[in-house]
Amino acid sequence: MAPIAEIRNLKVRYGGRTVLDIPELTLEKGVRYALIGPNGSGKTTLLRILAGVIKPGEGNAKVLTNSIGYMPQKPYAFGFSVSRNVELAIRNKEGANAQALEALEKVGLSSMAARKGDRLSGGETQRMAFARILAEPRELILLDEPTAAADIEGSVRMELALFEYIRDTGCSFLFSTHMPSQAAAIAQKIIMMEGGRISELGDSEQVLYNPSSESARLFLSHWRLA
Amino acid sequence: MRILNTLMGLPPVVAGLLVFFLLSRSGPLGEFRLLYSVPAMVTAQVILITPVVVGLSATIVSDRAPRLRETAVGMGMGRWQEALCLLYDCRAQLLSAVFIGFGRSIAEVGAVSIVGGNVQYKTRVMTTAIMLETNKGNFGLAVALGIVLLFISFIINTLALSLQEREAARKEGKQAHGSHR
Repeated sequence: MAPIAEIRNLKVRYGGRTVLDIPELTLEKGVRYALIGPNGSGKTTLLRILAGVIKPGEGNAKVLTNSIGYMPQKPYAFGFSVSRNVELAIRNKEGANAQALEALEKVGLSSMAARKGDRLSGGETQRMAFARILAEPRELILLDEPTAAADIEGSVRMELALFEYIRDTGCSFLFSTHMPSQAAAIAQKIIMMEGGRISELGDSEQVLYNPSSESARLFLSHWRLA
Repeated sequence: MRILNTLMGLPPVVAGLLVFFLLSRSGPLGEFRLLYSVPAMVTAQVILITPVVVGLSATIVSDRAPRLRETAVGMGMGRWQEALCLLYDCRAQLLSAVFIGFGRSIAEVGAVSIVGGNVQYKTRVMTTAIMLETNKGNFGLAVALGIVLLFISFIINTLALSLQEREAARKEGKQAHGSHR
């Protein structure tokens, strides 16, 4: 399968500490990946590098498309209306308003389209940010704990909308999560990170139920209880 | 940032002295004959107040910029659009910083008296007039001018504070809304 992103000898250091060290990683086109691992394992840093928010200190992180949508863990809501907040993510401005309203409908925020974006709660802001992703078809979607602040209803809505989006666009997809059920339900492949390194990479079932390393087994045994 | 902080505390007479040297006959800009003119006073005030407004603005903007940047990159926004959105979202606080700068500039006496010369009907401002009337012993007039200046300063600071309070109330309202859910 053709690659959508390639990482070679990537190293990121903060204050002398190596927070990311990935000798090689290839993300394949059209595949859904989940990124799991304890806090501080480098998941967010990896997503930020692929999204182009930060530059790698050493090595290469090559994304083979310009059509990327990235949703950070704590998305920012502009002081405009909620619909305008979504419109800003749409490149073709013709019909952008209708697209934005359609995306807001999918995440259950259409009744708040006229409200100021910065008046939303944390969960609502996350749903609005998710609507920005849904508003336009993209080739690579990167989401950092997309449902962390959402309530159960919001989470379910977002997951359903995501399934629909993936089915319609056939996009490549990488997301980090703390929910085992979410990783198992959405991802085809799982990347497990530990101390800035990839400790496991393989098909979802294999990694979740039959990990090769002892540390991964230990982490997942706690994780399933979460 | 260190340079900016130093400039924020620049003594007005030093700013005045700097502009005086620049604009005096033997100075590099002496040929323009701007000393003891309003443009000279404006230049000194700009040197004095710009670091204050820039310093306050930097603090205001740096609070939001990292999160906004991460989101903007993820949305594929250009740098200009990102900057305009940042300015729009900080507009109330930035306007408040401008008011604070203006309030400081109208209360300033050292720099404007050095480069303005306190020339009647030309470069005399309220602060230099107060200084002159005090020196002449016209304490009543000096105090009256002082009260007017204080009143203007009070109005400007009230405007600045109300903008800051409005912003704080907006944030609180958001938090209350968030926690309610």
